[in-house]
Amino acid sequence: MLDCDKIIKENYNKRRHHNVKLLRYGTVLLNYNFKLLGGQQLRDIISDICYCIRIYGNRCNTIIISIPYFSPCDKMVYILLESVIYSLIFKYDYNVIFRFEEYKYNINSIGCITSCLHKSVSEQLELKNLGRDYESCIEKNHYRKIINTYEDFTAPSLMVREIKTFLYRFHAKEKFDKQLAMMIGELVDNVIDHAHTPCLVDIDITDSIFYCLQKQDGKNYYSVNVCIINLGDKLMYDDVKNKIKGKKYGDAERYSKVYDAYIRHSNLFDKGYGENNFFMIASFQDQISGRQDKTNSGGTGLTEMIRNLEEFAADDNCYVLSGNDGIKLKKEQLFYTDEGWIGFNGDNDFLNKIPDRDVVLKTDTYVPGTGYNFELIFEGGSL
Amino acid sequence: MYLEQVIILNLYLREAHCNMEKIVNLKFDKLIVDLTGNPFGRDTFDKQINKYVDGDNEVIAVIPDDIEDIGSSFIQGMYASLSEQYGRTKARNLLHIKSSRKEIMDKVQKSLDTYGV
Repeated sequence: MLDCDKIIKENYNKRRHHNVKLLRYGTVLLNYNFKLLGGQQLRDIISDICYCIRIYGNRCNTIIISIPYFSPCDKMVYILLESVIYSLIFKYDYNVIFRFEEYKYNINSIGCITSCLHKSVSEQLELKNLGRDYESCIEKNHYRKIINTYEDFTAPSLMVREIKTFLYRFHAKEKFDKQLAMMIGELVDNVIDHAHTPCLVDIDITDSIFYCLQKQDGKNYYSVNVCIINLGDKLMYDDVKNKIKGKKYGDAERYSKVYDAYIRHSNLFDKGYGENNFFMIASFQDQISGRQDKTNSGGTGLTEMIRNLEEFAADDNCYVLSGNDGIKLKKEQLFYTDEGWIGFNGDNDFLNKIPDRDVVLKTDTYVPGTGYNFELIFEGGSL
Repeated sequence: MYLEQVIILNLYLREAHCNMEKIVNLKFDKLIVDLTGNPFGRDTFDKQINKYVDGDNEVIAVIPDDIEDIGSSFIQGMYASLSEQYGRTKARNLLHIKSSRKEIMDKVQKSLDTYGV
């Protein structure tokens, strides 16, 4: 299970008016009337939960979360909510009831139908009894696994085999399934190697041809949605940041160049692009690592894999989040220069230029650790 | 004359010894058909290859036939210790990864050519 202590604590919003009242029999009802569940709304829910824990403690035994119009904006959002809820159940020992009246999905959140949150309502099952499905689940269109044994070096390799078996039934063309499985294996390795905390992997593939309302072009689309999340103490860029800012790299010329780039970029820091964004991008650079041994796990090969997968897709929305910051992974920018730098800007110049504005993401919900979200959309029949 | 011959023979034997290759047939759990992960690569090197590395002789690590795919992180992990100890160029000369599968050999070659070790 993912440890949600930090995500709960870090998303407590002191300024929020917490309309959280303890009702009879130790019950707290959290009711939300928003039309879309995005980062801001998720933070509000988590903040209310944190308030409930802090103020009522053991006096509260049941939390009812009611979202009449349940419409998560993407996969990451509902998985984070699900993880927080399961932490409340199994770690904080609350009885949690999740409710919605109407479920609205888009092509990127349709996988929510196979989530425990949805099942608890549609099949009228207790969330607690679905705990096993939260930890591990392989269904027709849904794969979920949490790797808890991060000390087992072979876990990512074994997971690749499982995912290949799961994807086999979709008869994807041009080795798409093998590449996707290997990319996930590499990402899982990358995430657990840096954070040493459990890692959740969730994949869903739309069943039949899905008419994509957003595009309005009359074509049909499939979507493959992948989420890889760890909620550890370390942010993706923490180690690199400490190493570069503290100049803890000896005479290493490459690190010195990153430090110089930091000075150049820092002159252009503002609300939209800050220090954390810089170090997030710095951690993507070849042979730049926060670890003592100076070797990247996954390395530049990982970025190439992501680009190759995106090349398969008609449309894609891929990003990585850590803390309140993120980077959009756009295929046209996932190239390294001959010297091994990646700029995330039009000139692919990391050392001298800041990344394009639309690449840099800021999130309302604080995500401790690292979260990757991949939405790959394919025209019908092209997967 | 005799002394010269002895010296030449000695030099020849030393050179021959230096050019000796050690072939290591890697072994993995039967459930594993894909190799991925930097720590797994490091662990494989430490447990199965490192004892044959002396800094002079080349080691050929043979990937078993039942392995279907290999990730760049695993390859980088295999070379990590050697690279730290001997530098990137010598590390590539000291360790060679071989497989009967063309796609694995292509991946290894591409990974090493593009990203180094």
